[in-house]
Amino acid sequence: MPNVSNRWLRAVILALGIFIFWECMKPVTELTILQSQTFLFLFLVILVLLFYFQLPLWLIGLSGVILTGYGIHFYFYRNEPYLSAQWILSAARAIGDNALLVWSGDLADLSDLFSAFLFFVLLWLVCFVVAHWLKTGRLYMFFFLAVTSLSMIDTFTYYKTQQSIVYVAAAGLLILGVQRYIVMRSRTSEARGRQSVGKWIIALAIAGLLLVFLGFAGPKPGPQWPSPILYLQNKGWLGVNTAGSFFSAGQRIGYDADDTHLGGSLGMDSTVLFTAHVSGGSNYWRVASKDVYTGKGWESSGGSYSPLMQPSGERAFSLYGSSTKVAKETATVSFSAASPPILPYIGQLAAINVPGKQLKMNPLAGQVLTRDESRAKSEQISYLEPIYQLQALRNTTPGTDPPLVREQDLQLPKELPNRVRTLASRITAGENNRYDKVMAVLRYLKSSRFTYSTTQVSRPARNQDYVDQFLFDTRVGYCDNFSTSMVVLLRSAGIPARWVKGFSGGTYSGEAMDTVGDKKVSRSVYEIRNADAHSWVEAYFPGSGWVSFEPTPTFADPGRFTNAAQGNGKTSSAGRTNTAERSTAATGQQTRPQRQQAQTKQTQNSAGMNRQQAKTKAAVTHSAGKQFTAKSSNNKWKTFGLIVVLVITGTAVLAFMTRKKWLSWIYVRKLSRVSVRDVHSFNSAYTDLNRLLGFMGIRRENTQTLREFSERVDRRLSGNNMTQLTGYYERLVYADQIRISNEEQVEIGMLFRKIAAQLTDKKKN
Amino acid sequence: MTQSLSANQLVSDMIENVETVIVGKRNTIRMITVALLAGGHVLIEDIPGVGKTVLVRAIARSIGAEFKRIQFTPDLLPSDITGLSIFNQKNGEFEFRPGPLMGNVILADEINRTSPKTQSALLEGMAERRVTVDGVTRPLPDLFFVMATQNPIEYEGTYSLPEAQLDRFLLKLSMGYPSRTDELAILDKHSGEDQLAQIRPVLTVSDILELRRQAESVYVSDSVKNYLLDIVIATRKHPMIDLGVSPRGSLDLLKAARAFAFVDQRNYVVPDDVKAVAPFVLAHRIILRQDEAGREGAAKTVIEKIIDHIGIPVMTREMIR
Repeated sequence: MPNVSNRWLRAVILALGIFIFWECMKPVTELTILQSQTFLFLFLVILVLLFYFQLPLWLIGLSGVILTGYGIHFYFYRNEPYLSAQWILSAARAIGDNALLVWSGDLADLSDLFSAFLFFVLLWLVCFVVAHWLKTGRLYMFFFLAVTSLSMIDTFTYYKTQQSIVYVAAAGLLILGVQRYIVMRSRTSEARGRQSVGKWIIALAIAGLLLVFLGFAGPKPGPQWPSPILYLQNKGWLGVNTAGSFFSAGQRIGYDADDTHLGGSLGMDSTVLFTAHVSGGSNYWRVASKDVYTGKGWESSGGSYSPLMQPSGERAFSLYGSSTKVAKETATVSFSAASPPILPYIGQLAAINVPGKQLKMNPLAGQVLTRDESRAKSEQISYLEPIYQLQALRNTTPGTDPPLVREQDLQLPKELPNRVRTLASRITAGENNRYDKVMAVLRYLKSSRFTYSTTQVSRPARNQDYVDQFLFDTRVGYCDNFSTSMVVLLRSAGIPARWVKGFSGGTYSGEAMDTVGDKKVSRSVYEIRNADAHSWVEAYFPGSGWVSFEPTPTFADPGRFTNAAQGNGKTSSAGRTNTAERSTAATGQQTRPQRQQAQTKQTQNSAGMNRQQAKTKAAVTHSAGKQFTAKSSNNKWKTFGLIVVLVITGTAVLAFMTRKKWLSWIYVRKLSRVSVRDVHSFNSAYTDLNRLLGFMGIRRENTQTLREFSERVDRRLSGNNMTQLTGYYERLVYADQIRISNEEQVEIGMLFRKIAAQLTDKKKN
Repeated sequence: MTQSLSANQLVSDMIENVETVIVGKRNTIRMITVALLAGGHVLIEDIPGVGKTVLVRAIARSIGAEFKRIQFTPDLLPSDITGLSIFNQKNGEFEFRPGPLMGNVILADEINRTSPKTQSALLEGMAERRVTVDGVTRPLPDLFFVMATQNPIEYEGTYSLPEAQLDRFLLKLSMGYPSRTDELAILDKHSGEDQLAQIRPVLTVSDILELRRQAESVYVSDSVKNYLLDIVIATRKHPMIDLGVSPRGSLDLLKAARAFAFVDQRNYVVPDDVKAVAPFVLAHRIILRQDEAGREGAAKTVIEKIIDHIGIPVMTREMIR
């Protein structure tokens, strides 16, 4: 009777343990690219059960390999049949290559496949440990680590685990209660009936339910201390889970400076980054634009910053040509502690004032930062809201783009598949002017061919192009997919375009009366959250400058277009302004050939002074850009470093905890093939044997003679092999024997093998 | 290893012989053999009636040598055991009449019943292997093996042996009561006397001398010597011991360990040998502090405790390389 019900109680413990384990692992499906809950659940349940029931090693190994293989296939090679050698070879090669990268220290280049592979391997080990804990009843440890890991996830990621914590606490209470019951019953000699089991379980269930109820219904005070993650972020120590592509489901929830590897699903995080009082309408907040498409994401070609005086009356950089009408507006932005160190603005920045900070700007990207790239508390800006003139946009003359715009904003990677170019020319074929071509591309992307989704978004494989994958294969994506595709299509069609990142308008939360200058104005208040992070497109129109377009479905186009007649004759001047701004960047960067500089000098006139100033200032701080890019790759390095360190630490901890098992395995193998040739090999084999016995709990005390010890060993193993062996060994030690005859060598080797075999039998029983 | 074989044979023959008259004392017999091969003497201390004398007589008979028995009584004089010169009236000269001490195997029964004067004569002979009678020093034979018995000192009519003289004995053994089954076997046997007469010698004097020579050549490694010294030195520092083991004690311990290893068919000494003989070699060589001395077997217990705390020398990897 006790045995039968014990088995049931152990099954309950196992089930609850798996539930707790699952609750702890579930965030992985939100935080990483491994998004299938079913697969993860099956993976860990199967492995935990295999380990728990101590099934033969080959079976565990085989199942692990099949599951890991299935996982890799499921996430990375879904289009290929599971049982094809092709993807297996390709995956194996990728893992091999990446393993080499690890050795050579190029952690930044590790692929997602490898990260996933490492994750699966780590999960194996964790499953083993969990099964071990459940089996040996180390439930306090298990429970404690489960709650700790959940609170860590809650603290350090955007994933909210409050619900899980309550469930886990309740399940933990049950599991400990059941275990306690087993212990109590084994201690009391009298047999207890089913009744007491029932009572105990009812009491436990009531306690558990009460806990769940209290957990959900009880009042919850706000955070009792400021989130440590903000502190760490401010210190610059936590580039870790926000960058890196493996975690990119977590990465692309908000604003991130690193866009080099786009793709993966999007998490939703409603942390408020900044609150803005805006005098104009709701509009997109521009942070920076990027011009180099790599096939995987975006980089900036001119990362050079020059100091920006504030409050800056001059036009720091201009977006719009003379054909575009502007309306002057103001905004005051206050940043929350969660905000990245950005200074966003609407439209074209006219003046900016950040109290207590010195500023710098990158004219090429249109990015303003504090000089030390720290987070500002607030900013006051005045900006120009554009009203694009449709006629001017339609009436652009082909071939009038400034050379620098042509050079930079038509860039495409060599590896870009031809079908993208073909598609671009097919879409724009029917149109005769630039604006309509842009609109055709826009319509194409907003058509029902493509689905907007923040989840179920694939990532390009190693040799796949991000845009190509989206346009032809997956057709599911979010702003990054749409905006990047539009830029690439426009560029393929010969229209200069660039990729802009920032935030959408945010959530309207009322009106406020502010004093701007000396007047009181009513301004709208918007809250911009992490989930508002966005990307869109700017296309260049001679005369009108850079015009914003919104290719993402469900988002309204931010630009205001009007059909009103436009003034003429200033087209060239706008073009020149823009060019001037570009050449500033070029000189700052100091990589452009002199000839091109000379070329741009011819086209510039009005902004000469501006350029001159920028040039001198750029000379002082031209290294800032390099630091910027270095920092973002540093972040990735940190992520992969973290993964590798975790895997290594996990392996090391596990290896240490299970050292008796695997070390004794090693020693048994060693001893069963030992060949004793001389006293040295005999001595080391005998030492190994003693270590092995030590792992099995038979240790020679210091005051015990070899003989006494070997008799003890023989009592445990039956027979007298150890005594015989020790007889030979004693001659080494006490007779100072230095030679072992051939017959003795054979005999000694045989004794070692016999003892090794006995030990193996013993372990099996 | 022919010599080991014969040593082993000796012990088993001896045990077989002696077991015909006394049951269940293998270990004591073995120890007595060790003393014989180490060239030392044995003192057996125990209460009357456990078979000390029978045991010793059986062993003595197993050795084909001249056996003498001295029954110690309070009125025994030194000359009674050493022998004396008597005037021979025929040739008008003094003629030496050897006493019982001049034999090969001596049974000194109830040694503590005689006066210290006579005890001294015996002990001097044991230590110096010669006796001086009437100004003439006469050597004792090459094989000179004394097995003495005594009753525990608190029994009436005993003169306790002086401590300084006790260490003339290599081993001090005690027999203890037989186990229940052994005693049952004793009850089943006839009275020992006629069986004792049937014991045949199993080895000769020259055998013993040869075996002794071989036992002396048993190898003792430095580590074992150091282990032995660890034990000896520990007796000198032990808080319960007033007087520790002397260097003579160390020498005797080494001798006994060698013989023990030899009896165990080995030509090298292991720490187990030292451990096995040490209580018998050392217990009667130490003087316990006054408050500890009274208890029966206290000294042996102290020695055993000391041994239990001494680490065993075992070769490590570094030693062999």
